[in-house]
Amino acid sequence: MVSWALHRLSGLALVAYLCLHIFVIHNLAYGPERFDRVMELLGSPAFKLMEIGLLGVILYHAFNGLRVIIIDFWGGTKIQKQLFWIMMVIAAALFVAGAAPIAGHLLNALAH
Amino acid sequence: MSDEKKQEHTQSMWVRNTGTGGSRTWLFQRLTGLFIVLIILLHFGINHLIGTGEVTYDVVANRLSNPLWKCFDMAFLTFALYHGFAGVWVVVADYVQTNSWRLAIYSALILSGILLYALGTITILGFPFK
Amino acid sequence: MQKIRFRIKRFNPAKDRRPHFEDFTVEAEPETPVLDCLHEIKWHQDGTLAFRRSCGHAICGSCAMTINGQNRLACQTLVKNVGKNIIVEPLRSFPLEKDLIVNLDRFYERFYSIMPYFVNNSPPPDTERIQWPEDQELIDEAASCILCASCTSSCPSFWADDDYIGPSALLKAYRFIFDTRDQAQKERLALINTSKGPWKCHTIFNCNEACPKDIDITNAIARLKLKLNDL
Ligand code: SF4
Ligand code: FES
Repeated sequence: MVSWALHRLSGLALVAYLCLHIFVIHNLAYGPERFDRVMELLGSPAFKLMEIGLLGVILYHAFNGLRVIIIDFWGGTKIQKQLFWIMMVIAAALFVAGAAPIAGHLLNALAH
Repeated sequence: MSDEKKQEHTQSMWVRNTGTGGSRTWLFQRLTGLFIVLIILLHFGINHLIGTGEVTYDVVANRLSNPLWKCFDMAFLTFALYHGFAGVWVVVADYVQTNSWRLAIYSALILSGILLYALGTITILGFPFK
Repeated sequence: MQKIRFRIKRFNPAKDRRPHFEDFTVEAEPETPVLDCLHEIKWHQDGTLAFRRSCGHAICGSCAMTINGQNRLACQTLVKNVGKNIIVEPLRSFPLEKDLIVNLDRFYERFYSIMPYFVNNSPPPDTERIQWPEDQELIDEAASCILCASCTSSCPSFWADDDYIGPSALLKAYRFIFDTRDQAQKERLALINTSKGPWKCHTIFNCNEACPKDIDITNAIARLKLKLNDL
């Protein structure tokens, strides 16, 4: 049940993010200066940290979603808990791989 | 179930018959989900692993000058928006059982979905802006 | 013998405005079924305690209740399975009648709504209608459901919206739709293919965890979803 509840919550959070994202990127229409100003703001350490969080939320939703798809189309209901943890291990590995460069940039930015 | 709620149920076929969708809604949610996973892995890999993760106007302009990238971004926008709003739709179907609220929320969802899609499409296809 | 502490949710519609808990202590062996403890309470401590039971052998489905947070059969659950402090509540999401008894009208309404009977209009053969073992295997588990309502009562989709047909009725639909001898497949598929049908199942697995017969209900619902997509 927890996996489903988290799936819902992460899904709702991602929809909220998607809406914001569409608005932010639309700043392209107002020319380079404005866009780069907005992007600079979003490049600040606080937002970089949130980006790492976003990556985690996306990976959870994606890999739990894949688990549901596997169960829906091929079965695996009897090993659903093991499947969950397998998926989470993959997601965690990708999280580390993905968060490292962001954190690297972040540290770089902080050092300057 | 309270009597009020029961009455609403018997009165309103509309609330009973909207919401969770049917077989195709269920199938599309899975298909779009799969696509998004692929697209997002590419998106993330290109931006943060190959690229520097820095998004400047020039970087984006360079990318959007390529029609293939425009297609890629349009596919992303379409699938993600559909998947997200269909998901919210189902959540609402689970928890909102009164006619008026359901109608209000669904109208708002349809409206904002169309607006967001329009906005995203303008950004991607309209680029570069004069 | 050890002392087992029971916290039982009580509700008397003639007196109480809302349910409350009452404590009892029972002497029991580790192998004593929870149902026997409830009997002990009813017969020797408080005769007003109301609960359903019939067979005492996990086959009638009457005694399903929430024991330490999980839906189980009181007659199948032993004291050693649930510990020395046992909390007993009525099944969730059904209208409460008295103490541990809930009104299951809605549950049976759903059950009847999917035509829960065998349909085959071809003339009966001289012997029985032949069923191959592989075909029977498809529905063996599903056919062992005892209609205890544990699954439906454990489902978050049902908690949120009790118009949902629910895992138990869907399992019953599966049992007939995937019966190779049955001929009402189309009708039954049409009956469940509504916005209150299997699309309300979000693969949460509470039903599987609740089922005292260990039936793979989530899998049955997933097969129905594929069938409805002609996959
Ligand atoms: S499927 Fe299991 S939990 Fe559900 S009614 Fe049947 S026996 Fe009870
Ligand atoms: S009394 Fe019959 S199932 Fe428990």
